[in-house]
Amino acid sequence: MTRIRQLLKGYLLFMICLLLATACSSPYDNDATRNLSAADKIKYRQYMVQGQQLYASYCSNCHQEDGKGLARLIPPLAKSDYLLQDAGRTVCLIKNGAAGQMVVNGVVYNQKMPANPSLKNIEIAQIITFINNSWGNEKGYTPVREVENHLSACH
Amino acid sequence: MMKTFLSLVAAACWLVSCMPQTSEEKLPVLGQHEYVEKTTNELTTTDTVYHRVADFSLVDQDSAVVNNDTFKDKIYVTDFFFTSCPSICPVMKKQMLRVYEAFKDNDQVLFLSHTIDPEYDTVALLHDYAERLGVSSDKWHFVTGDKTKIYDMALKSYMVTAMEDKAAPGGYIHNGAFVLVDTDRKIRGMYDGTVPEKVDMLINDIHRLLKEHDQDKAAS
Repeated sequence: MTRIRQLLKGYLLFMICLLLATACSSPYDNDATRNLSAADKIKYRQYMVQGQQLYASYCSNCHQEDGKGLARLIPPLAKSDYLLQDAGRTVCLIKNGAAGQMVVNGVVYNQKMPANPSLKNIEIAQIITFINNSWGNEKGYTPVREVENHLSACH
Repeated sequence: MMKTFLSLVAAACWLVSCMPQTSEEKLPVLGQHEYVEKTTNELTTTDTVYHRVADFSLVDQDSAVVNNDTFKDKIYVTDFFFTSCPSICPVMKKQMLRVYEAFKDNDQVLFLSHTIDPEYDTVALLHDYAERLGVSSDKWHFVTGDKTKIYDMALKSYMVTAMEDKAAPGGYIHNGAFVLVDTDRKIRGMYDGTVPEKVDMLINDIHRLLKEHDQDKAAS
């Protein structure tokens, strides 16, 4: 009986340690977000959680759950030069859609992307933050005011 | 001692229940069956008439005619999609590609994808789509043709939903079913092409169906 009690105690202690350890670091953190202020870090993590859900309902049908796209039909987001080179372009693309040829990681794609006029600026910021920091991408946090600036410059 | 034994038994049961179906049992024949009574030499027998895929003739990405003869003595997997589809189609195609890869070198298995937007999905567009997907046109046919005929095939032959609806994303309603058809035009399975586990089942069932055909051939 005492042995069981001892085991339980050990287990409890282990769980508490685990909780403490995970409270301080998040699976979303990467080199680009490590030096954010405490307030921005909290926002960044919220964006990642929201962004993941928005990605699942607006983007993953085509770009797939793993961000790898589909053959030469739908371009990847994971380690995508096109995505990571120009943040403003991606903002406009999500809002207004895209058509015509597009070269991503050296491959020519030519599939229409639908526009998402109903997405709010904050939602676009959450999606951008999520895709910019998933599947090995480490681009950092995109606050909503940055999205607003980019949107005003779309043509 | 007893406890260890019991937990071992429980673990074994759990393992067995999770294993894929590999039983020798034949796959069911889906669809409405009709029973026809026949009297010959004063002896009345009942014949079962199974649901079968109707005659069809469509055109594929190489402008070649694709009809029932294309699938003579073949097993095939079929679905309905459109190239500009923003909803479930890319997920379905990723999954179908997995099935294609699994049976790429087996000439008994073919693939047939129907467009439900034939006005937009021309032969040239389907050709480009298949090429970009990286699949061979004599193995995986992407077909177009008369719209009402394609919808009719979907509903009556393959028992899946496909229709126009301006309110749906992309303008069409369709379910993500993959339909497995045997060498005798009978439907032997339906699988949700958007769920990887169901597509694993399809791959497993194709192996079972191939085995069944091999046995039938050996018996005749």
